[in-house]
Amino acid sequence: MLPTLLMITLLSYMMMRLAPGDPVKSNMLSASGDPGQLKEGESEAAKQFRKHFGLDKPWYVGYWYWLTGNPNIPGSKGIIRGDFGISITVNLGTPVSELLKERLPPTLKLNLISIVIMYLIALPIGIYSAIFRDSFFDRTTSLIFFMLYSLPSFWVALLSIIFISKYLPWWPTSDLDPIIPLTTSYWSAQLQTATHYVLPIICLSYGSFTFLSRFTRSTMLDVIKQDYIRTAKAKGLSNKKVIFKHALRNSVIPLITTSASMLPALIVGSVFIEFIFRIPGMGMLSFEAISSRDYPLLMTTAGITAALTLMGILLSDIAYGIVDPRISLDK
Amino acid sequence: MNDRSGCMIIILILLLLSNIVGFYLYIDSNSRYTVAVAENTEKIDFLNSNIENLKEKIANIRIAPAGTFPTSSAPDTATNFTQFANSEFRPENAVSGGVITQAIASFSGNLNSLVRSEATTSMIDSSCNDTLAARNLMNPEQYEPKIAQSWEISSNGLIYTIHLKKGVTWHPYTDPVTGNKVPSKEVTADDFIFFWETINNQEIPCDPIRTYFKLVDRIEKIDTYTFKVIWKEPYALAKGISLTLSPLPRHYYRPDPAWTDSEFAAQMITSKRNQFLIGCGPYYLDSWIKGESLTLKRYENYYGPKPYIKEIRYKVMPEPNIQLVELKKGGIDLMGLTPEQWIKETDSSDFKVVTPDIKTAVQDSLAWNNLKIAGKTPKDYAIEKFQYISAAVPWFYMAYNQDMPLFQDRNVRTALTMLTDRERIMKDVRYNFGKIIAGPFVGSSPYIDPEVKPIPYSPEAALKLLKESGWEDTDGDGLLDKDLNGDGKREPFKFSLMISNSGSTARQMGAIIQSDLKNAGIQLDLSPIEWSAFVDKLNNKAFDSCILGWTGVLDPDPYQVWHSSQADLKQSSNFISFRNKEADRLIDEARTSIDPEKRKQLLRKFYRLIHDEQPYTFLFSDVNLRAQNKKYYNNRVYKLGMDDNLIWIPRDLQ
Amino acid sequence: MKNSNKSKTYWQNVWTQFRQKRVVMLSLYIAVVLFIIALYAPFIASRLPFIWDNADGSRTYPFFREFFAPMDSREKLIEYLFNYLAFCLPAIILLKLLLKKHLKLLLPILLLILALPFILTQARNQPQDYTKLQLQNKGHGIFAPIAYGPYQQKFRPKLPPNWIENTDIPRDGYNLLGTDEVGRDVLVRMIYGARVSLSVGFFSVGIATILGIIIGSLAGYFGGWIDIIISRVIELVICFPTFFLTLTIIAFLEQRSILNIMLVIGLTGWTGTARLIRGEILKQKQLDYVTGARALGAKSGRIIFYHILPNAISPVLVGISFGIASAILAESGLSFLGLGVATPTATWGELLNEGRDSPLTNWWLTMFPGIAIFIAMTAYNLIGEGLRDAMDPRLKE
Repeated sequence: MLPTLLMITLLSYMMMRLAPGDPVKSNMLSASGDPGQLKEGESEAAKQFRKHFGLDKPWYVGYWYWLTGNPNIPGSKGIIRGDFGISITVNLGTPVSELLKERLPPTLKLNLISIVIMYLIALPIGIYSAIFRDSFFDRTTSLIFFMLYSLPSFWVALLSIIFISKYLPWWPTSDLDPIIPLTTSYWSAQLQTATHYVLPIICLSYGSFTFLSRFTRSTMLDVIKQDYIRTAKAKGLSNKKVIFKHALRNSVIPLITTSASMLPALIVGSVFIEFIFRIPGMGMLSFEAISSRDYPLLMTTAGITAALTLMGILLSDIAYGIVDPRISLDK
Repeated sequence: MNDRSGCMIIILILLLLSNIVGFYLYIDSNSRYTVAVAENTEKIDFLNSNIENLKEKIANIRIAPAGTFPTSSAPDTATNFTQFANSEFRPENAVSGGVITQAIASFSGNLNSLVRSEATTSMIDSSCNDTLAARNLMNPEQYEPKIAQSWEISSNGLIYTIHLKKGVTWHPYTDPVTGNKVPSKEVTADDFIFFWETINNQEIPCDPIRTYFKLVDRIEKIDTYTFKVIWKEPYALAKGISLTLSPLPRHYYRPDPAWTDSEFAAQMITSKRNQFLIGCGPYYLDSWIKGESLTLKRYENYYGPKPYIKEIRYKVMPEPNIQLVELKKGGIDLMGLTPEQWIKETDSSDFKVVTPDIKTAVQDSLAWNNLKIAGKTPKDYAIEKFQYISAAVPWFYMAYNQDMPLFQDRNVRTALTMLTDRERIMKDVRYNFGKIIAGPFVGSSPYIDPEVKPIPYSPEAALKLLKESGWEDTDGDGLLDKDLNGDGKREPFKFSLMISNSGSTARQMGAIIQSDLKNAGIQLDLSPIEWSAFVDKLNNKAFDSCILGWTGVLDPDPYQVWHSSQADLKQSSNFISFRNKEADRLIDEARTSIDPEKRKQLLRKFYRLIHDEQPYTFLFSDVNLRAQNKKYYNNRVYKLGMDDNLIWIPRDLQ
Repeated sequence: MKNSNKSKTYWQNVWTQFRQKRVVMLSLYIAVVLFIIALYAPFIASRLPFIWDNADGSRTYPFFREFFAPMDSREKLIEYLFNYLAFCLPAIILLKLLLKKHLKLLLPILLLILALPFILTQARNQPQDYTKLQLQNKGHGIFAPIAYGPYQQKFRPKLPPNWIENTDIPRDGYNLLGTDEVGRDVLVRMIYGARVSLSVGFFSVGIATILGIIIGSLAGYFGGWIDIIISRVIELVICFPTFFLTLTIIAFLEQRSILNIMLVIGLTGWTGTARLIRGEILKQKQLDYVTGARALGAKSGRIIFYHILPNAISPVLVGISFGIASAILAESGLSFLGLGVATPTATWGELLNEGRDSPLTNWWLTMFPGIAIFIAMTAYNLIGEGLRDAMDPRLKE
C-alpha cells in the first residue's frame, strides 16, 4: 500500500509541476473581474518567492522537499513527519492542515448525512425488490432510480435554484451555516439550519440510490440462492424468518464494505455541488488548489483521496475474505 | 457470528453514524449561539452610543467647517492644511451607527497587502489603513492630508519633506502568534522607514509595490514626526507616490528585533500574522469566520473624523446571481451589478435608478438628505441602483503577440480592429454599458487626444487593407493566405485567441469576433484556459492573441506596458513585445517632465501613436454598476466614484 | 465453428430476454432516434439551401457543396463522419435490397459513392446569408425545415423561447428553445450538439474499452510479473483522483478539440474494463476448452481473442452502455466548468455553461440541454441495465 501511495504522490507531483500554470504568478496577479484584469506594474518576477518555496528547483527536488521538508521554510518537516506543508496560493502562508480543519467540517457534515439517507432509502428498497423480484415494485423503483441516476447532479442543483428562487424565494439556496439571531427559538433555529442543508443533501444523495439498491438486490439474490437458505426453507421456516434472520445477515456485510468505497467521496466532497451551492468545503478547496496550482495543498488533497481509495479497496478485500473464506488475503 | 450479532452490527453502525451527525449539528448550534449572543450585546452597546454620537457631532463640526473646498491646483511648495481630506463632503445632520454588509466575490484570507495583491485584500486594507494624504474626491489633482500634517516639496521636485500629525495611533490587537495583548501605539516616522526597509528587502515578494518605488532613492527620518522621501530623478508620478505612502507597523510585523532580514522575509510570507491586520485607519478588523464573512468595526480612537457606519461586514459570495438574490432578501446591503443584471433582473418596482447630479448634490447636500428623511421619496422601492465611473476605470482589449510575423504588419492589426464589431459587442454583451475606446487612456483622462476616434467596423476596408499586405484567398479554401515566411508556401490566416475560462464576457466577445473574422476568411480558434495557465503563457509569450483588461489609473505611466525595454523581459507587462522608437521617446520624456501641460502634450502624442499602431484592438472601458439598500443616505457620485466612508443611516433604519 | 454456433444461440437468448422489457426497448428506440437526429442534423437545420435559384436564372446547390466538405464547423472530422454515415447508411440498405443476389458488388459501389463527393464538391467559403438574399428577392431557394445553422449568430442574444409570452421583445425569427448568449438558436445547437455528445460517448468509451481489453487480457492471460505490474498500474490509476487527473491533462492540451476531450475521458476510464477482463480471463483460463486449445498448439493471441474474449465479452458490453452514459455526463461536466470543447462547436454541456452565469434569467439555456443530457443518459443506462439483466446467468435457471 505504501509504495503505491508513494508512486501516486510522485506521479501527481510530476504531472502538476510539468503542467502549464504558475502558482507564483497566479498568486501575484489576482483574477479580478471578467475577463481577467491585470494591474499595471504587477508582472515583475518574484524569484524570492520561488526560491523560498523551492519552485526554482526541478520537480523531483520539489517532491523530495514535500516528503522530507523544505530547508528554506522554518518548521517545515515534510509529509513523512506529518507536516502537510504551507499553502502557496489559495491562502498564502497558512498551513495546509489549518485549511483542512476549516474546510473539512462542511463537507463531512453534508456527506455523512447524505450517506445515511442513501442507506436508509436504498437498503430497504433493494431488499424488498430482491424478495419480490420482477414485481411491479421492483420494476418501477428500478426505472425511477435509473432515471435519477441519469440526472446530472449539477443540472438538478441549478434547476432547483431556479425554481426555488422563483416560487419559494424565502428558501435558502446558499450559505450553509447562516447566522441566526438569538431571539429565534431553539427549534426554529434548527429548522432554519436544516432548510439550508436540504438542497445540497438531495443533490448529493439521489444519484447513489441506484447503485446501492441494485447492489443490495443482487447480493440478496445471491444469498437467497445459497444452499443454506434452501435448507432453511425446506426446514419449514417462514419466508419472513428466512429473509430477515438468514439472508439479510449475510448480505449485510458486503453492503457495509461498499461504504468503504464511499470513503474518498466522504472527505473529498463533490466539486459540482459545492461549486453551485457555494459551500466552502473540500471540493471547492481542491478545485481552487488545482486552478491556482497550489502544489502543497493539491498534494494533500490528492494524497488523501488516494489513501482513502486504497483503504477502501483494502477494506473491501478484507471483508470479502471474511465473507468468502476461499479468497485468502495473502494471495 | 449468530444472527443477533448481525442485527446488532447494523444498529450499532446506524447509531454511530447518527451520533456523528448529531454531534456536528450540536457543534453548529453552539457556534451559532455564541454569534447571536455577541450580536445582542452589541445592540445594547449601540443604544448606549447616542450620547457619544452627539459628542462626535460637535467634534465633526469643528474638524469640518462647512464651506467651499480649496480649488487651487498650483504646485504646493509649503502647504499647511488644517483640513482632513474630503471632510467637506461630510453631511452635517448625519448620525453614527448601523452596519453595511457587502458581498465579495472571493477572498483568500491573506490580509497582508504587501505580499498579496488581491482585490479584496487591498479593499480591506484601505478601510483599515490610512495614507499620508488622499486625493480630493471632486478635484482629483488636489492632495489633502490624512496622516500628514503638512508637506514641503523641494523646487526640483526631488525631495518631499513630510510632517506627521501627532496622536495618530495603531489599533490595539491581540498578537495571533504569541497571544499577547498589545496596546495601541502612536504612528511615527519609524513606521514609514519600516515600510521602506520592508519593500527594499529583496526576499519579500512585493514586486508590484516595489516597482512604484524604483526611482525612490531613500526615505530618511528627520525626527519622530518628520521624514523625507528623496527621489533619484524627476518623475511625473513622484508626488502621488510620495503622498500616498502608508505606514507599516513594525511592532506587528517585526516584533523581534533579533530577526535577520531573511527570517523577517520568511515571516512576511508565511507568518500567521498575515491572517490578521492592524492599521491606523477608521476601521479595525474585529472578527473573521473563515471562508464566510469578515467584520470590520469602527476604531473609536481614530484621529480623524470618524465614518458614520459602525460596522462593515464582508460576505463571501462568488456568484453574482446569488449576490442579487441575497440583496433582494436583505442578506447583503451592497453589491456590484453585471450589465445583464442591471437590465434584466433589477427593473422591477423594487429598484430605483438613482442618478445623483454631482454638483447640486454637493451644494445642497443638506437639502437632499432632509428631503429623504422627511419621507418625500417614494417608498415603493427597496433598492437603489447607481451607475458611475470610478477613479480606476478598467478597460479591455484584444492583444496581439508581436513576436509573431503575422502580427508585425500594422495593416493586419488595423484590419483586425476593423473586423471587430465593437458596436455589436457593446450592444449584445455589455448592454451598452461602457464606452468603446480608441487608445490606452480611458475615462475622463486628460491624456486622451480628443481628435482620435475609434476605428469604425468595416469589413470592406479591412479586406482592402489585407489585400494591400498580400492577404488573399488564392486556393479557394475560404481562408486568406499569404507567403509569410518567404519560403514560397502560402500560409492560411489563422491564429488562436486565449481567453480566461471563468467568465462569460470574454467567451461572448470571443464568439462574436470569431464569427466576424470567419466571414472575412480568417480562422480564429478560441482557447479558454484557467487563469494560472493564462498568466504563465503571457509570461512566456506562448500565445497568439488574448482578451484581457487593464485596471486604469488616474495618472498613467505607460513605461511598464509600452516601453521597448520591457519587451525583452520574460515576465513583463509588455507581453505583446511592442517595440516602437518614437513611443519610447515619448514615454521617457513624459516620465520625467513635471510640467503638467508638457506631459499632457507628450502623452496625447503617445495616445495618437498607439492608436495608429493598433498593437491592441481596444475594446471598451467599464462602468461601475452598484445596487444598494435604500437605507443609506448621502450617496453621492464624486469624480472619483462613491465613498462608503461618507454614507450614513438614519436612526430609525439602523 | 461450434463455438460460434453456440454463441449465436446465446445472443439470441439475450435478445429475447432483452426484448421482453418494454422500458428497455423504449430506451433503445430513443437511442436510435437520437442517433438519427445526430446523423441528419444538417437536413433538419442548415443555413444553406438545398437548391438555390439565382435571380439571373442560374441554379446552384450550396447545401450539397458543403455537405461533404463542411466549412462552417471547427470539428471537421466529426462532421465528415456523420455526414458520410448519413449518406451511406441509407445507401447500404437500399443497395442491399437492390443487389440481393450480387452482394459482392456492394463494396465497390459503396467505395464509388464515397469517392463521388470528392469528385463533385468543391470546398468553398459561402459567407452569404441566403435567407436574407431571398428576402431581398435576389433569388429563391429550398431550405431545410430550420433555415439557419448552429454557428450563425443571427438573432438577438438571450431571447427566451417564443412560446413564452413576452411581447415587448422584438424578434426576427422563431426560436423554439430561445437563443444563446451570442444569438445562436438553442434548438439548432442542441441538434448539432447531439453529434458531439454521441461521438464523445462512443469514441471515448471505445478508447477506454479497447485499452481495457488489451491491458486486462495481457494481465490475466500471462499472469506472473506482467500481471503484478499491470495490477499495480491499474490500482495506481484507480487511486488517482479522477477530477485532478482530468483537469491536469486538460491543462496540458493546446487545443480544446473534441478529439482531445475524447482522449481525456477515454484515458481516465479504462480501469474498470481492464479489471473485469482480467478477472474473467483468470476464471476462463482454468476451464477445459482453453487448456484444450493450448494443447492443440494455438498461439496466445489466438486463444485470447478467439476463445476467451467472446466468453468474457458480455459484462464488457454492459460496461460500454453505462460508459457511454457516463462519458456524456463527463463531457457536459467539463464543458459546464468551462473546460470542455471551445466555441463555436456546439455541445450540450457548453450550452449549460452559458446558462450558468445567470440561471434565473436565462433558464432555457439550463433547462433544455439538461433535458437532452438526461434523456440520452437514461436511455443508455437503461439499455445497459437491460443488457445486464438479459445476460444475467441467474435468470436462466
